[in-house]
Amino acid sequence: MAVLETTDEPSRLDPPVDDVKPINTRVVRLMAWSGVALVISLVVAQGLLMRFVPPPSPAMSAQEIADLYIDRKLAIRVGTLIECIGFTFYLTFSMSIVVFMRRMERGMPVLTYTSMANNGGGYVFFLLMPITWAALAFRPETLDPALMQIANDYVWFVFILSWPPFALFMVYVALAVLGDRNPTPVFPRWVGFFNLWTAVLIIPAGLVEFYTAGPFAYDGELSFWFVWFVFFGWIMVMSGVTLRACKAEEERQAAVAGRDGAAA
Amino acid sequence: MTELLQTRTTAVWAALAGVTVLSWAMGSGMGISDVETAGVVILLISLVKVRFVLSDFMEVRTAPLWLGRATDAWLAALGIMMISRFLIG
Amino acid sequence: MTAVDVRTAPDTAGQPERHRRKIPGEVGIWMFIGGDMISFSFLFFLFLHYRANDTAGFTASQAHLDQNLGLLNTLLMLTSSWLVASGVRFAARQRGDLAARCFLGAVGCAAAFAVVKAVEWGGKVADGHTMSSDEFFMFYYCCAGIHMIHVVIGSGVLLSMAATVRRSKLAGNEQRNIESGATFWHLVDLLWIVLFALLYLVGQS
Repeated sequence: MAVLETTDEPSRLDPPVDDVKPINTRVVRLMAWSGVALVISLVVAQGLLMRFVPPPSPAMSAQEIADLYIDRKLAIRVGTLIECIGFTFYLTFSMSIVVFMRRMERGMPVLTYTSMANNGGGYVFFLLMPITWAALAFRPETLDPALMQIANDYVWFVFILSWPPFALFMVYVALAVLGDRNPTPVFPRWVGFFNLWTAVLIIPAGLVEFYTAGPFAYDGELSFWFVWFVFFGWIMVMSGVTLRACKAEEERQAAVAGRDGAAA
Repeated sequence: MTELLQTRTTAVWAALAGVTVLSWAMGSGMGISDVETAGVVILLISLVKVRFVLSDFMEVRTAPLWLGRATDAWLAALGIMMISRFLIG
Repeated sequence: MTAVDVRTAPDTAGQPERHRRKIPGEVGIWMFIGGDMISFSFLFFLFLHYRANDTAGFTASQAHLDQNLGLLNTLLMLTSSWLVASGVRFAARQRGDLAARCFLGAVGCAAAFAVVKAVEWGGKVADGHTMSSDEFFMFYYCCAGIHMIHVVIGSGVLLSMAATVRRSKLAGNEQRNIESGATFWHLVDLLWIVLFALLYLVGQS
């Protein structure tokens, strides 16, 4: 909480509101919508085409996994193609938030820089998933089922065990929102607590390492369904919040332009 | 520090600790031989304790009324959910 | 509230007038609390749901638990919560020295809670009951583990609260943050109360 101990008084680091660099909201709006596109591509590609929502049970035998990839190979190839595009949008979506985080931070924008590096790495984990599936569905008939099983486990581990950088980004967002000293906060304060909550909630995802069945396995009620609803729900909520901030920014720009016009 | 000891919060703490120790002293199932009855009683006691933590420690008692209604609704839903899932085998 | 005598304050708070009703902390922290309550409710439901499919197995495994240690931890949690609630009251009356002592005492309780848990888990593992032994022990370790994450986060929050109150006068937003942090700690306490009932007691007679 030490980071939140800011005074309400503006410091000499605070630029006057009019001096704030305008944000190109047209581009940022597209980036925020790309988060929605990501979720839709997930539902269509991974859910409807590949039928990997929920994942195949980790308790399945190697042969069952191999048969599954042979049966669905065409759907998996089409689905992964869509998902490679959709998952790349994690970068554009998360950067739409970071643009506004820059507005919240004063002085050296530490959280903004850290988030940029974090998100640049984060979407690689997203892309690794469909790429690995595509490779598995490329010649599944000739692959050793044992190898297939390991590779299939690996994809789910890449996706679920890679939670820490994503949880940390939520913490960065929360710190930026709760430390925001703008007269009109860029994001409402509840967004900060919402991000802390989602960050805490996806921690149990780490338990997938220990179980092949039950709520904490990678197809379980908690480690799959709950964590996925929280994470992809977070994307939808943050897209909405960012779009609202875009609207506020457009109004601010219009107000500044109107006053400049009146002055001239 | 004496003022620390003369408040409603302290009374609530003493009562909660007392109930906890008392139910322990009465035996695992509160001395009730029927597992189902004992389980329901244990769950109800824990929810009553939670309500005191909410109302006094978390100051819901002096908070806007909607907060108290919301936490009571959660407690009721949790109680119904837990007790029914416990009893329906 | 600052002018009110400490001993009479609880009584006036007993008949709160409408205009004096105020949310502890801020609305945002209550969103967090509500979200966490719903998630844990889901966990409690899952426990009872899996238990219903194997009542005998759960009861047999539960019999291996030491209820005294569970009871001790419940008392530690309750005491820490009481200290935190008292600390908030002192902080509101600008008694930062007493408030800091309360918050540090609560951290002490949290540390003792963690030590008891470690001793308990160590004993269970030595007896061959690990997180992959059976479904009961899966819940026993995972639920308490998820709760322990909250204890660790909460202890960090309490330490920074102690540091804040020790520094002379509190600004308005600092007072609000203290209340928010305290509210989170009470959540850690109340979740343990239900976990204690579910993991240690329900099903025994």
